[in-house]
Amino acid sequence: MNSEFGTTAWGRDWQRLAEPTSLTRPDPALPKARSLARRDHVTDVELHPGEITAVVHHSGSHRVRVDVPVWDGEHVERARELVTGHGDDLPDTVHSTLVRAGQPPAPQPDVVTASCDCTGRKRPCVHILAAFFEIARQLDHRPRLALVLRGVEDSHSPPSTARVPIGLLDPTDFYGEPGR
Amino acid sequence: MVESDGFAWWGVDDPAGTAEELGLPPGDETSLTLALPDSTGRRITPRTVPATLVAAEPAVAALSCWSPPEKVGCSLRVWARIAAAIHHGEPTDGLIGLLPTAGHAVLGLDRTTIWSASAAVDAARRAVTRARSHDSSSPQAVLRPYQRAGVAWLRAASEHGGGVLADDMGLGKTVQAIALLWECREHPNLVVCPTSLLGNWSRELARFAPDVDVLTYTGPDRLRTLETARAGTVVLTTYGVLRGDAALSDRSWQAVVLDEAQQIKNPGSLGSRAARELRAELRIAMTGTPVENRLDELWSLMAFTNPGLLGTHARFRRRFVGPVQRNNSRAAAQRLHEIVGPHVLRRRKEDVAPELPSKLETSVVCTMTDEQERLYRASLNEAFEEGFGSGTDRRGRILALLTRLKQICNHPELVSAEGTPLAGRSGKLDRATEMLAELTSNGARALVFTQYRKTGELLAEHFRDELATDEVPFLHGGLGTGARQEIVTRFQEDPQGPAVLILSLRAAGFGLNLTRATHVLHYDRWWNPAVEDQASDRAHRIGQDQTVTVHTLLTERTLEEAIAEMHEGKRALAGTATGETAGIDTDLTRLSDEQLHELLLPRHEGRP
Repeated sequence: MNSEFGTTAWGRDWQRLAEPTSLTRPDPALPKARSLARRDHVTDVELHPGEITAVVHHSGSHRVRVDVPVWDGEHVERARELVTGHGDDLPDTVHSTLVRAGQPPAPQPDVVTASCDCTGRKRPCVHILAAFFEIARQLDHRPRLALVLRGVEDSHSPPSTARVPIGLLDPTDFYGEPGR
Repeated sequence: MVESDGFAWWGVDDPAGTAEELGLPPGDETSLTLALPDSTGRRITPRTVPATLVAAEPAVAALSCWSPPEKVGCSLRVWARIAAAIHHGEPTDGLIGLLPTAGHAVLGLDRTTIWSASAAVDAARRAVTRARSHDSSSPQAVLRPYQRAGVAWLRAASEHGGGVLADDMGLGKTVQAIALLWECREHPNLVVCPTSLLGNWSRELARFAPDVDVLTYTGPDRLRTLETARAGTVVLTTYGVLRGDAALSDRSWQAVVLDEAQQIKNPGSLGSRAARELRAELRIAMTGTPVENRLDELWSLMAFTNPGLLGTHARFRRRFVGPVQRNNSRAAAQRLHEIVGPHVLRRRKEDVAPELPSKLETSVVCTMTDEQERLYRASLNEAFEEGFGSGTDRRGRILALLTRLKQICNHPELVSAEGTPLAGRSGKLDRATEMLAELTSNGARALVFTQYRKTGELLAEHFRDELATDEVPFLHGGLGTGARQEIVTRFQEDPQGPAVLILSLRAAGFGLNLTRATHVLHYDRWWNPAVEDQASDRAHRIGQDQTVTVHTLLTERTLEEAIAEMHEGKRALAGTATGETAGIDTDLTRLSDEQLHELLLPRHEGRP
């Protein structure tokens, strides 16, 4: 496989939402959607528990919103336990353990709702597909985001290494609370 | 500031004045790069701000008995409590978690990470303890602050399996590793290096950690020696042995250090697999090549130091190698750095420069190959059997012998033309080639000095093949003034100019300005160190704004090592008046046959 989307089990879930294996003939919008994601035309991606919003630039700007169901407290707790001890990055084995435990990180396709403010009639439109690819790419890079999406909010692991890359520093509370 | 043993006051326009107002030592004014929130408050980026620097000990002393006024920020408040704890020898564990990022936000010398709160507190404690104790038995005593930070980082790396120490050549990777090994006393330790570096390692170990037991594990009867390795012993071996020796993976090591770890850059090679099978609490790979640009090599090294961190090779290739190398994805490159950054310590010479003197000098002891040793001994025997005669005749014959021995050290091909490939026959040539490959891959430029025309020609030919460049000029006395000037101009001024320039010691003695080079290699020893210094000063002179590293190559157990010891004043020549006359060569011709024989005969292995 030579695709740049879905290079890990985490991102592959979302690449498959865009390109379901059940697809009998290729969706003609896919090459365009991939190219939009590849050329960074999907911006302002905000990923929170239960929802993702993004802006896709393609003949104007289009707002895409994707909703997924979050886990209940018990599932959130189980996922949290499972990733304890792992660093900032997560291996694919964590993904497969979740799948085996009957708690796959990826939402089933039929419970994912996606909307776009474009006027096209086809759904998913090319913008939604582009957003799926971008989400796939971001999850490939940061598997923990897949868990954030399902409701594991504090899944940011505090760095345990003696040196911390600037990109992993949290700007909130940078100066600490006054008077503490 | 973990890498410079100090505290920085920052965050106000006039740090010195404000510190004074608050009753703290004002410190020396400077500017400092920190990792700070940008104007949006959503991202952290490097930014340079005015600051003052105070050495750790006075800073801790002042902070420990200081009561912060109301307006002071959280970082300084917590530091005052930490300083008090350090000052009174109390634990700081509960305070580290209170320190906000601002309290340890100074950008590291690697320019891409900051040191964690706990690393910063440990460094402050270490600096204070050291200032009080003056313990000189540990190799730590001779380390520079950034090297001590490196050792602390290596030690802490065991929590994650290990790490890659990738400092630039000349910054002292070996001495950092030795300081670490000195502390590892629970099990034996293993060091794997190229054959050409075995001598250098035993010499450096003897120099910086004389109380550490060292065992060289090479040769056909090596198995028996491994059994004698005790806790704390450093077992030295080569990649050749590692590849085919099950005994090494059968035992448990405390620390395993792979020097010149690019030797295991191919993940599927025998050496890489053997390295991954070693069982150790702490696994260190040392390399000076820019691993961050060679992703498969990076994977292979980290599969040894931090197994599992980068996943399987196939996944890594899909996830990072493809996007970074084929699609030029900045996001992928940045993310990869976030993952590996904490586990790779790579400091560039220019970033460490403020901590360094303008000239660093190191000796590189190279192993003698079997071919060299055979020729060397044969030449000695032949000369002594024939005898040297007396008077001027004697002087001439002795000098001829010395020249022949020095040429054998340079390369056997120079005295007995076999016509076979040059690699693998001279320890110095192999080592010099490795060093230049590393330097040029980092974009550095180097001068290589030799006193022999034939050696210079041989080096130029070999480097052209091995460094994959058709341009390795050789500046020697046989060239006309115009040709020489052209070589100098092209090296010094042309951005596309050659990275390596070979010079004859005598042709380049003075006058030339070659400050573009930041490394100088002396391929052979001259009798008079002043001549070598004068040559090194082609690069180390006015106009040079970087630290120049001078590497002197010498072949272990030969007259080259003896000359080095005489230069360093470690060895006196009995029965001669050293210093009174022109130099060591004159002194040598005055020795008796026995004295001369003892000096020139290859000494036993393992003697420091």
